[in-house]
Amino acid sequence: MLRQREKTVSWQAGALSIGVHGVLIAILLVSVNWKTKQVATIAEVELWDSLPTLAAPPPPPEPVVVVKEAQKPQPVVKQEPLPKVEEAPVKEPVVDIALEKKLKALEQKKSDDKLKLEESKKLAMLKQEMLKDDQLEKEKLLKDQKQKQQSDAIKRLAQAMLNEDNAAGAAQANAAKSAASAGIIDEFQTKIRNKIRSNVNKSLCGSGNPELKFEIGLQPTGQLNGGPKLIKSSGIAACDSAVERAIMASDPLPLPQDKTLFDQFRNLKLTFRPNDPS
Amino acid sequence: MFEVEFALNIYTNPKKDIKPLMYRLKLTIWCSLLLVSSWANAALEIEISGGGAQQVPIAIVPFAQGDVQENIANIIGADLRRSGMFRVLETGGIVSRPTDVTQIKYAEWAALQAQAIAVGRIEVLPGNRLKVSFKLADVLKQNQLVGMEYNIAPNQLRLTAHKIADVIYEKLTGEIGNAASRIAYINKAKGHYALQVADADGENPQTVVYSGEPIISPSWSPDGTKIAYVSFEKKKPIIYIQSLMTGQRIVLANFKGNNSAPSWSPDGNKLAIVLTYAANSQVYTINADGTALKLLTKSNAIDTEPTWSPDAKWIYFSSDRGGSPQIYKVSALGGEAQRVTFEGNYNLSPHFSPDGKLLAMIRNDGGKFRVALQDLTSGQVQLLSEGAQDESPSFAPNGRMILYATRIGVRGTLAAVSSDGRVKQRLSESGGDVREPTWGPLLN
Amino acid sequence: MNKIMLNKKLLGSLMLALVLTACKSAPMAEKPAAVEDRTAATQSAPKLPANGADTSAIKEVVINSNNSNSALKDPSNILSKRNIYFDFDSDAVKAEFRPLIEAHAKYLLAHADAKVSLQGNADERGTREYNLALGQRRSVAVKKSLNLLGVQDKQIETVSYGKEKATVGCTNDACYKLNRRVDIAYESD
Repeated sequence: MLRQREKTVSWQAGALSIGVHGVLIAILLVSVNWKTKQVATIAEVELWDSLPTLAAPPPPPEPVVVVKEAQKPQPVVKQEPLPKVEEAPVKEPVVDIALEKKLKALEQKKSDDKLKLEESKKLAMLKQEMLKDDQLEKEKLLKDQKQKQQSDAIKRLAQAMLNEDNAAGAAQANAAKSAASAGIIDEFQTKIRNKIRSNVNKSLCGSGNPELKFEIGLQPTGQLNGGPKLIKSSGIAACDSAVERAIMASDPLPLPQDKTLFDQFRNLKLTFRPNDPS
Repeated sequence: MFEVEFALNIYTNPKKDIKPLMYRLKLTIWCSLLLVSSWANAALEIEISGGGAQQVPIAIVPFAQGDVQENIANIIGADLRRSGMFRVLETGGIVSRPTDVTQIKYAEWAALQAQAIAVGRIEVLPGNRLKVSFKLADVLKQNQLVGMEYNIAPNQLRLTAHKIADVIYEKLTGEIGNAASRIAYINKAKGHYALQVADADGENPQTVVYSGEPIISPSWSPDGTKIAYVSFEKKKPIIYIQSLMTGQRIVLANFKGNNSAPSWSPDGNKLAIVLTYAANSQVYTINADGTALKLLTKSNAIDTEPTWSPDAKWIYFSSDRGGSPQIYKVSALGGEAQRVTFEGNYNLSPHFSPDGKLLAMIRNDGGKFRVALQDLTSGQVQLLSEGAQDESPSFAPNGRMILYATRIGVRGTLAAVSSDGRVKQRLSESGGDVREPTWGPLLN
Repeated sequence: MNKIMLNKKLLGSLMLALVLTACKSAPMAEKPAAVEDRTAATQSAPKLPANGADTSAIKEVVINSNNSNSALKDPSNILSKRNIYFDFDSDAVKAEFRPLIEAHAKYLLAHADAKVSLQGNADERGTREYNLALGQRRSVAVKKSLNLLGVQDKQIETVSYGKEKATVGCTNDACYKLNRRVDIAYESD
């Protein structure tokens, strides 16, 4: 009784719950690799009675096969060559004041050099460290890049697939939309033609086959923007005037509701052949 | 520690599948670009063939005319309506009565669907004269097209109204109008025959000749001052020329036998006539003073109904030399006649349009006598009237309307049809048995 | 009864007298009228009655109707027939009218000062001038017949009224055919 009065969406809630569980499981299945990697054991303690004969060493653990994606070309990391340190040859000391001095200077120099060397060694080490860090960073970057590239690629692919669908759909939608627009444009082209034609007084156009051309500008209301402009005369003044009056008498011209199509009708070129069979 | 690694296999053969995808993308992009570009550049072109309107809609606003009785706007409107080229609108619903261009509120006339508007006034001048002024304006462009002023005697008011109608007609159609002209015809009543001249709208008829014997074949001189006609007052057909102004007349031809079918040359110096004094009806030319008779046709058949071409080079006539009546032409200087009509087996009564391009005639169409029109350039012929007893086709000065005689029962009446067959009119009958109409030239 | 007969005679004489006076300056034939005995008898002195003279009695003068003018008007005389009828669109003189034409030819040959106007007519169908010419054709045809019988053109004029005298509103040929004719009109008519 009570249950019946409850909301009937309760089944939907149940379904949602199942769905969410399902998603969670899916994620777990997908994202987590349930295979465990066998790591080589460090030690194995066995109690012996006697020295055993040399037994075959236990086979090395099978390396875990890690399938990696296609290698993307790795940026080559140039390792900076360590600075070469040349050791100054050690000379035997000769007792000689000058020599001693020289020696002292030399020794000084030597120690200086040693210092320098040490310093440079330090520097080198530092550099190396830095390099290593750099390398590491670079490697890390690379790795990140690689990963990003991977995921980007995946994304792109996914997007591409989506786009393909969308484009097809959008192209279809666009095509449909432009077809519909073309249909509306045709429809109003005909309406404009019919309205103006109904006002054309061809009895003023003689008995030949005159042709006239006018250009008109329209406002979004369908009203004429300024007067009709005669581009090509029929050769008969009364005919030109009659057709001009026909255009003006047809003001305002019918335009589609959809104002985005107005651009099509902003400027119109009208060609008249009043004595042709309509 | 567990290593968490991705195991992801997206596709088996990457290179193959990426191509169609790229292709499709490219296509979409190009198409969109194309559409966008076409939308952006060209103005929409619309072709319009034919036309649905046949008349110019015009409003003739009642003139301010004080005590002057004759309603000038009505006369103008009736003239324009009769021309078939105008739709004269009812102005009763509009309150304003502009008499000058500056007073016109264009919007309210545009709402009436008018494309042109005529306004004017009549003022009385000292010496019992009238000043008639009018203006014609374009309702859509909202500007004046033409304006005129006339200083007239009161009895010229109708004629002035007709002249105004012709100015309006010409401004809007590019052709001259017909309203300021006259027609002549024979009115038979009570056993007597009256040759009458009236305005083109049938008003103001005046009797020129009154006789107890038949009168036929009236013909206007080109300058509109004289009429030639055939009278039976002496119990045989004799040709007279009478001055309309003075009433004086001379006998042009009274030879033995018939004298009939007078037709003026375009310069008014000669006439073509038909005599039978040699035997059968033949065509002659003669000076307007009755001198210099000259034979033009030679046949053993009936040659009659001569008419000059407007360029004065040819005389067209009917003849049954081929068996049944057809229309022929001969040089005005004489020579061999050539046949002109080849459609229908019975064609009579040729009459030229003022521009010389069209020939009206009467065809016996299976027993019905109907007005036909032949285009002399193309040779095409069309039947314009219904019959069954239509005769005497005569063109208006601008060549657009053809006046002719028809019959209702036993009574003759006048009718008009436009040269393209579109407009048909019956002239108002004021009793009498009317026949032999002929349209005179424009009045100055 | 007698009175009526007297009136009739009187009337007849009056009419005759009128006819005679109404005649225009028609050249009378010089040939003296054939006078019958009757006239001579009537012109002699009246017989006086036996019992005495009655001078109030009216003298009856009877004139012989067989003279040139009355011949043309005499209904019993073929010369009073003046119409020759034609078939549609034709100017051929039909045989049935030959006697009529011969009679008039004879008259004209006998009266050199007599002149006829042959008036052609046509039915109302067609234009006026063409019908004028058609009527003319018929009158010319009659003239030619007269020429063949010896009559000269100076005694004949051919004219036409075309359809001006035609019956209007004919609906069948019985009506139309009455209009396809030539009328013989004497100058003295």
